[in-house]
Amino acid sequence: MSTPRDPDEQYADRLRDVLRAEGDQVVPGGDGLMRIRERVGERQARNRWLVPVGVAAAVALVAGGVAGGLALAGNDDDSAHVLPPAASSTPTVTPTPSQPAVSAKPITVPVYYLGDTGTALRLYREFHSTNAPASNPDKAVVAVDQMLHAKAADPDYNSLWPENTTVRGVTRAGTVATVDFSKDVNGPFQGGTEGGQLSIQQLVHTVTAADTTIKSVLISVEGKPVTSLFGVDVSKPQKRGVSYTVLGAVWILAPTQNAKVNSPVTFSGQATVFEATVSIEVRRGATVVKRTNTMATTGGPGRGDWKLTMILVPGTYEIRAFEASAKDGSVTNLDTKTFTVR
Amino acid sequence: MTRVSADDAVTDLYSAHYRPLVRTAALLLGNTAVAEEVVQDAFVAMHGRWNRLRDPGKAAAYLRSAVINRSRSALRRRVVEDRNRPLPGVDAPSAEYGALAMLERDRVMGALRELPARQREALVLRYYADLSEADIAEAMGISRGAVKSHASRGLAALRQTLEPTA
Repeated sequence: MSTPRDPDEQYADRLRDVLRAEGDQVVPGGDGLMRIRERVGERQARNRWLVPVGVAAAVALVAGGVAGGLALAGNDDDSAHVLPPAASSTPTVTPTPSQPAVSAKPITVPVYYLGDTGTALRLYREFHSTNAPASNPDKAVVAVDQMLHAKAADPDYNSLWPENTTVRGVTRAGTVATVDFSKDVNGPFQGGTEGGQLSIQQLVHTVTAADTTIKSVLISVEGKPVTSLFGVDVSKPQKRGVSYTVLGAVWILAPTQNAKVNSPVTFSGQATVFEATVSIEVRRGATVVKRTNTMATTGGPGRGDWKLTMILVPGTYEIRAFEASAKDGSVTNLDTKTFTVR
Repeated sequence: MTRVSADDAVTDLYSAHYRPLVRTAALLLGNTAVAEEVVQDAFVAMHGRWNRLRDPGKAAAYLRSAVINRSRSALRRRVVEDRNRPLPGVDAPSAEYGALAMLERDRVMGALRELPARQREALVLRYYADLSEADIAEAMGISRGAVKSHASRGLAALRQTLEPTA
């Protein structure tokens, strides 16, 4: 700015600088999206109980002025952008017009998969939206079911659990959950020792992420506790392993595989990398269109968040995020996602 | 007309807006943890109302106004809770800033926190979030004229506090 005339304008500049410096210090935790999804899931689970109540009861709730759908929908007072309920033949505000009264409901759950970093197997996370049967809205069960039967969206990820294994239920005792599998879980296992250990961690991570009140996991088969699975001793409740020994060192969380996004594109993820430096390459076909790096909020062995925004013309791209080897700069701990810019 | 699902909308909007919104809320609140909660709240509410949003393109504006409203309520609650404790700055200061710069920042942030909520909001949205007057008006749910007057009164009050002799 050149020679501000109004003395207040000088304060505007001072304020701008101070706010920027203060704002830069604010580093949100990396789990915001997960928490939002968890809370969305909880809200949907609560709303589900309202569905069979019927219109009359819903009217009573709203008329009673207590809970009603609005309170359940987030207790907010910012209605400026919200459509008024359609003026239909019934002048009734149903609690959740967006939730049809059906027996299956969409639910989003975290699911962990195995990925090969080139030197080791590590875990990677996706979120899956699926229809949960109303009869069993247990997020942990749904997440394990996804882990067993749903293919990862990212073709680089997979699961080694024996085919046809089904989850029969999850029971909780305090912070310990017991996951009960069908006997198919004892079928042939191809993963070796490393794959076995990581598959158990895959289960532990999936269950504890789907239900954060769970801290450790026991395994049973057709109701009977087992002490060993995939060659791993599971006689004691299994906890999450230390992150840098279990999780992929570089994760891309956004965009998700095959996502359609607008430019500027925001890339984000987590990383446990040397000096917090994440290398990024964006390719279109075989052509590298951008090569850069970005800093995670923490360097290894801590796990930091990283984020980067790029302007890209419409088209289909691949982002590659990796750690350049401290030794020779080679690509290690690569994660990739294909996405389309609209 | 196809509309992305609420889940996808949350994912898209999260990557673009979560961090800036948390920062804005933290500046209003002086606390990152509360700011995160407030912003997560706003996302959850938006998800619940996704099918009723008039214009999905307005989702960012909806989030902003939800964050402003919730920050105001959170602040009100907190002021009641610890009326006698001065609000701290945004979390722990980092060592890389010089002592003088820190002092300046503390003074400015302190003065900002003394302002009435509307004035503080107008200033943070204008000078930190870099929003247009129209966007600020929408986020705060007031007229553009009111935005202007809140901002200029806020700025004048800051000046008064920081430069009592002027």
